[in-house]
Amino acid sequence: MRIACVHIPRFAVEAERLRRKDIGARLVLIGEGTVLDCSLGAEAMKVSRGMRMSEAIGLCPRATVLPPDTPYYERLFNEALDLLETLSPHVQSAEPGTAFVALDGLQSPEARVAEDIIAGLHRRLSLMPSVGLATGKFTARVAATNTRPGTVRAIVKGEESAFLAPLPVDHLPAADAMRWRLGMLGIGSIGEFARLPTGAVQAQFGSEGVRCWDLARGIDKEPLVARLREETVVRRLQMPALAVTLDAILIGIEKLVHATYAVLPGGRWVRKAVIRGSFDGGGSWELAVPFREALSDPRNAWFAIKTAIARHPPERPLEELEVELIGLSGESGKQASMFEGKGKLWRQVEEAVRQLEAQQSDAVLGKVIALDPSSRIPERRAALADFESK
Amino acid sequence: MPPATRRLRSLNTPRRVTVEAGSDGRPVSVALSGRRFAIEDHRETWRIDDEWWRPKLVSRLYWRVVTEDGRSLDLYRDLVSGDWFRQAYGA
Repeated sequence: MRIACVHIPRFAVEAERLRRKDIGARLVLIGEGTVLDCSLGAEAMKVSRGMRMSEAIGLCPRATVLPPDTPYYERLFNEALDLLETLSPHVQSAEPGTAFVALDGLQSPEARVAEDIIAGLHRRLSLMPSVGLATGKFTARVAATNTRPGTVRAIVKGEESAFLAPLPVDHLPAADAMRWRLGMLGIGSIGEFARLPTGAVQAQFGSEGVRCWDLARGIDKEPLVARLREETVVRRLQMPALAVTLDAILIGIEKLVHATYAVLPGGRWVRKAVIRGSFDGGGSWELAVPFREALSDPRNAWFAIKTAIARHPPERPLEELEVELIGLSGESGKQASMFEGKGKLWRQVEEAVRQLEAQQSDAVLGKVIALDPSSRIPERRAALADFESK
Repeated sequence: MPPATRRLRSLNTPRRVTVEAGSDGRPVSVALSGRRFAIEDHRETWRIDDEWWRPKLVSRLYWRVVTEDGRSLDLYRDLVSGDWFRQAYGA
């Protein structure tokens, strides 16, 4: 299957540059405790993703440090995916900044589709991707990450292993332990790894090694799994004044929840709500509230949402609010609890307790109850209650 | 048959231990089951102050230590009473 891998390098940094003209060409670090993403200049100063932020700042002290705004990056990337779906019906999202597009069955030649992808993302979203074309996702991804943004690298069918051979083994989807061992064995390139006998690879690295070995030889059977488009309903509210207090935010969200339910098609139930807000001065807040069972009454939904917000309130004043209802269904179903006598396992436990009590009248059986699991004081987190069999 | 009265017992209650501390307050050795074990490594220390509005406030300085026989222990010094306790804090 011919696949195009669309790769937008340093996606989070590019996303921030789109909305913050003030950072221009400055060095950028995004993250809190660790580095989520960094600009090319920071990479050149030996900063890497996952590095501790304090270490990264030490390497480039003049960099602009930004907190990650994951909801915004996801929204922007979803817009990119929507655009890709206008070119092919099968699009898979890998991680923000990387997607796979199925090319089989399209009318246009693949090179033309690749050019349309680059032109479309650049013109519509001001993003500059690189595109790798290959038979299989792995080779397409490696091709995309090894070519400059704005260009296409096509690997002809049958030439995958020749293309991969000189590249470092770091491209293989291997765990750190396997990479370390490959380094200790002096295997630096994908070609060197591909030349190892399959039995030795299996013996040393197990199934992970065999999968990497297949990929190194250009054998990639992993299918492209197109993303599912969920039916959703979204409503936004621009606050008349900056919502500083939690009360004001709650009033706004309650109005939005009722307004969003009002436009639901008749007889629809909702399984999840996502509440979003834009902070004054940039950044965003997002809270996903899955319902225990699908809800058709906005008052019940509001109760669940209000409870969730009380636990995770926004940390700064908000100027815009959004409510998205997800998982629309035609009916509701109650989720049975394993610990209320309905689960098979629980019935077995109860039977075991009855047997034990019959054999030993002074048996002491207890049930652990979570009191305050997140308490900083360990003895406040859980307690042991008497077990009461029915 | 259910018991007549329901009982609720705390789990992971702190256990008093005898600890010898250095001049800088770091635990140097701990007595476990009547035997004294030297502390070989101090992995981490953290302090919790809580329930300050109650008459019996909580103020503890925890230490995650490794003893000479390789055991990893969580110890804390109650900063109100000055006593040492052993209590698993979490992962």
